Amino acid sequence: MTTETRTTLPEAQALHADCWRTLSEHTAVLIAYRCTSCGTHFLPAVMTCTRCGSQTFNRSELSQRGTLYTYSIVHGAGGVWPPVYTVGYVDFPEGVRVFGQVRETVPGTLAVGASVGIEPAALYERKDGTVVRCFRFHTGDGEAQ
Amino acid sequence: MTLAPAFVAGAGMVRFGKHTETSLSELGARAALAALHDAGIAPDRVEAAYVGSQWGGSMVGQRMFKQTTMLGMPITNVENACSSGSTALRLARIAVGAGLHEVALVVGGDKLSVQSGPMPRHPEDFDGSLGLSPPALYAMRARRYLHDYGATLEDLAAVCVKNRRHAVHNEYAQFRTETTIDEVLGSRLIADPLTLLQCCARADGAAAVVVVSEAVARKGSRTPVRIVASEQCSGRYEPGFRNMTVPEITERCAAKAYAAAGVQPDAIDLAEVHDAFSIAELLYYEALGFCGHGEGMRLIREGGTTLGGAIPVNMSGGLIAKGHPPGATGIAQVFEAVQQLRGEAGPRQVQGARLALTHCTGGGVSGLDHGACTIHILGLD
Repeated sequence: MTTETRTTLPEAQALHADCWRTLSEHTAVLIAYRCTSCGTHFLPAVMTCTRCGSQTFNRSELSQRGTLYTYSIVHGAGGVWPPVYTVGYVDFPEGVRVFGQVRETVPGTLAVGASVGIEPAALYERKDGTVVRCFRFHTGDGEAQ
Repeated sequence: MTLAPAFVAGAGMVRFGKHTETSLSELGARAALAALHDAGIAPDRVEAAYVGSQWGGSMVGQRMFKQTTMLGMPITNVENACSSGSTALRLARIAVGAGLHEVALVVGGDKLSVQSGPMPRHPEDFDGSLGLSPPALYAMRARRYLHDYGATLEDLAAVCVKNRRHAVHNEYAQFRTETTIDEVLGSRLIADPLTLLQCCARADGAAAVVVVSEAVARKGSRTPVRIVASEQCSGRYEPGFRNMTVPEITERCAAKAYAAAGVQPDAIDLAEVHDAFSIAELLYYEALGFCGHGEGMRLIREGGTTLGGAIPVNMSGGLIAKGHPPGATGIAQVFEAVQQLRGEAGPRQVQGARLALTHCTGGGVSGLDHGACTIHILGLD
């Protein structure tokens, strides 16, 4: 008789794991691809720098806060997504704009131009129970949820 | 090379809406035969076909033409998102202009009523993998437009009220009843600030046009409509700070189209533009040069884009009222332009129309404004 081993936690998969890493329980940082010729930042990765044509990049962590360029609270999208979630574009001082989800889903808690931080978050769960995790933006001061 | 002139000799379409019991193949075939009937051209004179569809799958054109007697000719299937049909039209225009064919048939079609929710991006797309959908993208454009220019929610809703009013007189439109600002803003939220009635509906439908050489056009019984400009652009990648209230792909394509036609925007008598969402129409007024940046809301408040205005837009009802089977949309826009230029548009006729513009843009790719944009300018000689 063999002992069945059970996992006590659902498996987690990091989405776009090359583009971010966890700093602490409530903070994460984005990692862009920086063109070694002209310094342009890309996130996600591209094969060729659209500014200068170079194909050589190094990894470069972005600032830990950015500015919310625009956002929308999405309702009833279906698929894997929760009934209500927020998406937005965030501009970083390094000159790159990054799309992602935003923690706040209540109207009035968000504004164009808001300063946002980054946290690790569970975005959705696959049918097999795998939790899909990625970075997420939020308007908090960084540590407290 | 300089292309010889090409003309639209005839146009046909099936009503947009739910065609649950009819296959896409049959919808396309019906539109194709309607266009040939309108042109007075027999099916055996068609030398080639160009078929646009975003979701129709492999061999969509062959499946359509199998319903007719026209198999055997070269059939080219085209996928370019919302510009699929209009891209197929451009290929036909080039083939006729290059002298390859005297008569080419263009069909666009899609059948989307069987699906639910927003149309997904390709699984490889970064923004799509994190939850971006077409309504969310346009909602973010709207959010920024409201912020930058002081436009109101009522300005957005006014687009829908106007286009639904236009569609009352279009027997091919999906929604033929008027609506109100309150009804539009009171419908359920899809992607804040866009509500359900500000989003075009997933529709089934097909449309077709017959593109012919000048020699064939002159012998026909119908008023030939000249293809004055047929332009296409792909989006440019921008990793940084794009102004999302300026649709750069449409601006570039419009500049090419006006240059090819040798006209300024104020020469256009009517336009069919890609109002997939309310905000889109305001942004395209500006990008097509019908007003300056930030002035789209003023143009609609003044009634400048309805009958009697300086530039009537979407007299067919547009995507919002007519419905949006993406592959068919670009061809249905030309169908409306042909009716208007021939003076056959009935109660929605733009008096004295001689030059019409049709505009399609779409295709979600991270970092691009849009994937593809096409603009046609059609005119009477």
